[in-house]
Amino acid sequence: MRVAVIGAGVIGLSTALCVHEQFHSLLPSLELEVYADHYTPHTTSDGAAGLWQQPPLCCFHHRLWNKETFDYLLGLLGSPAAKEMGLFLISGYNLFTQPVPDPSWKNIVLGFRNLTPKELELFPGYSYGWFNTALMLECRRYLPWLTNRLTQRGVKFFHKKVESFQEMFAQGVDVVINCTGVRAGELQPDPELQPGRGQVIKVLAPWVKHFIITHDIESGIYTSPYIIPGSEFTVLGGIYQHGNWNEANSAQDHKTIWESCCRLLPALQKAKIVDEWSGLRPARPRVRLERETIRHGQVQAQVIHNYGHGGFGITIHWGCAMAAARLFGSILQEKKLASSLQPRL
Amino acid sequence: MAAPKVAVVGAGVIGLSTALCIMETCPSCSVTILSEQFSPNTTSDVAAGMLIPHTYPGTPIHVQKQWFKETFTYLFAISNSAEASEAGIHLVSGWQVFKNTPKEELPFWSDVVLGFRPMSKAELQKFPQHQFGQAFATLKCDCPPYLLWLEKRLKATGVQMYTRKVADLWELHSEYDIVVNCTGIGAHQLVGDKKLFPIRGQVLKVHAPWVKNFIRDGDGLTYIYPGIHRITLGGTREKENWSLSPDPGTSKDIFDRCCSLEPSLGGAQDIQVKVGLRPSRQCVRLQREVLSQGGVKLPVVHNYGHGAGGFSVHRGTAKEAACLVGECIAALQDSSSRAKL
Repeated sequence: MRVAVIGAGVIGLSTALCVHEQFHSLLPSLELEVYADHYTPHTTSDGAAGLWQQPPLCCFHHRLWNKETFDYLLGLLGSPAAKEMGLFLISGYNLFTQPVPDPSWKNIVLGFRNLTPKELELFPGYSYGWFNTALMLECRRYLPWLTNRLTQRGVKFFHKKVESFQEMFAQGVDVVINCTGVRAGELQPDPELQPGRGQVIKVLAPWVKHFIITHDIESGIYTSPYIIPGSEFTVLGGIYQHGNWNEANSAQDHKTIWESCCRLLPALQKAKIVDEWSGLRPARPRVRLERETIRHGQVQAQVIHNYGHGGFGITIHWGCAMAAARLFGSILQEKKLASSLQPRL
Repeated sequence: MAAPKVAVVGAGVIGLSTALCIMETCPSCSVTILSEQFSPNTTSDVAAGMLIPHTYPGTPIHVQKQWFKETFTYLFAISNSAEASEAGIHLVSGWQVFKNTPKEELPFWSDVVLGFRPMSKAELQKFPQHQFGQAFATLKCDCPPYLLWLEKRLKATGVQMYTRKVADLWELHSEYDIVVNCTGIGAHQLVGDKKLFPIRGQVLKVHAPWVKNFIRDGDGLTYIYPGIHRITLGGTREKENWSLSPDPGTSKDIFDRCCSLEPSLGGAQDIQVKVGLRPSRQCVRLQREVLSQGGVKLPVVHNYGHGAGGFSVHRGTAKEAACLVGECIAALQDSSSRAKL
């Protein structure tokens, strides 16, 4: 049984690992391969700051997948793997200009509470907010860690741009897992999938120990300044442009990010800029996580789609990987492969 | 009297902040700092600089709270300004955890720090050996940056600083009108204060930039304090131990205790060891004294004995010391104008 995962960002690699972990012993004939034109550190995931947080005011219906991801990562925190994975706890602030309802994830994160008036003095212009402890998962470390786990398991990697699902089936692949992110439309048109262009400035500001995320209800998600400290540098952002495919950095966006973040945290004026990056969030009204049967000659070939995670791919990745693995399990059951097939959920 | 000449002895956080307060309240004063050591070789440089107060048994709680509040307010304003990174002041949040629920669940400073509340069950799961905890955000003064920033501000106001070992406060009587004694543990020998004793603290300073929260065991012995570039891991409280030499067995013990609170510290790099002697006393000695020999008087203001709580109350005690200096100046002016009659 040959399975090809297309895409090597956080979604592709975690889905591959989840499938292999759950099925390799039940299905000795399983051959898992990863195909991608970009690998770490050149994927969209690599540019993300890595903060676990579902956009609070969006009505995505993904609470369970987010919770599964958080709980999974929280369980790994105390393990020796955590540092290698780029996983650590981080606390911080979400800021609003008016009171808002509590987010659906308030009981998923740790220590969620409203901000006190004294804390709000730190953030002039914001009159309401939350404090909580969440997780950081830095893909510059997580993706290599996933790659190592997969390599140890005998998964093969191919550096190539797959042009069509048919190309895979013609090679003898039985199941394709489509984790192609923002460019999934090149394999199969999807008008609901659009780039949500973002730009970030990376600075050295090691005195910043908290994430600070502001929200502008009118202008929409990711359009308001945010500051996210990582293990090496701090990410400044606040750009979201729907439908913009341009991956080049914009001077105007740089100015917007820099000025708004320095207003939020004046000490940033002294921070040294070390990098700038633009990326395309694979935005979709809902994540596409479903099976599709595709005719290939006489055969009904299977595709599992797992793309369209917008700006919350890291937040939701493991829950989606497990859901994709369940879909794979259902394919195996239909094919009556593996004798006592009990997918571990 | 024209431009009172004030000598501040000691250049740790107490000496420097006291000198700064004197300049703020008495701009016409000529202030000179004399110290055997300057940053990075003071006791203050070893400390993590966390604003979590120590309780002095001999000082009324409302006084300690006032000192802490003044210090917190002062540093809060700096942390919120463009100077924050240069001054080394930054906000840190985290947890104080207890193996057994403490008698006093609400410390006197709980409404001064930010967002103080008991930890939730979910948060406590991270600390399986601990039953109870408190979560809050407070400020941290990184040294050397904070001391260097104070030195810079002092120099800008015209304060001179000299490396000099003062063997006896009286030796300053001919050059200075008032002496301010901020010698910390040095006061034991300098003024023979037998009520002052060291509580030795050994710490590790490690590179572990993924640790963003502080963790402190309520017993005060084990703590993890993330600084700008390094994490301070502590510690020890060895009463009457004067040794400044790091002990390797102690280092291992500290490291093990901290790793059991925060396992990811196992991956920490570049471990440095430091030792400091907390200048401990039942209460901070914050008072005036007049030394006299052969009819000559030398007013002295003492500001030492802050033990484990120097950073937490430094600005509050510095302001009070500056007030006492003001009183000394008034007394001198009074007696000098009487002498003219």
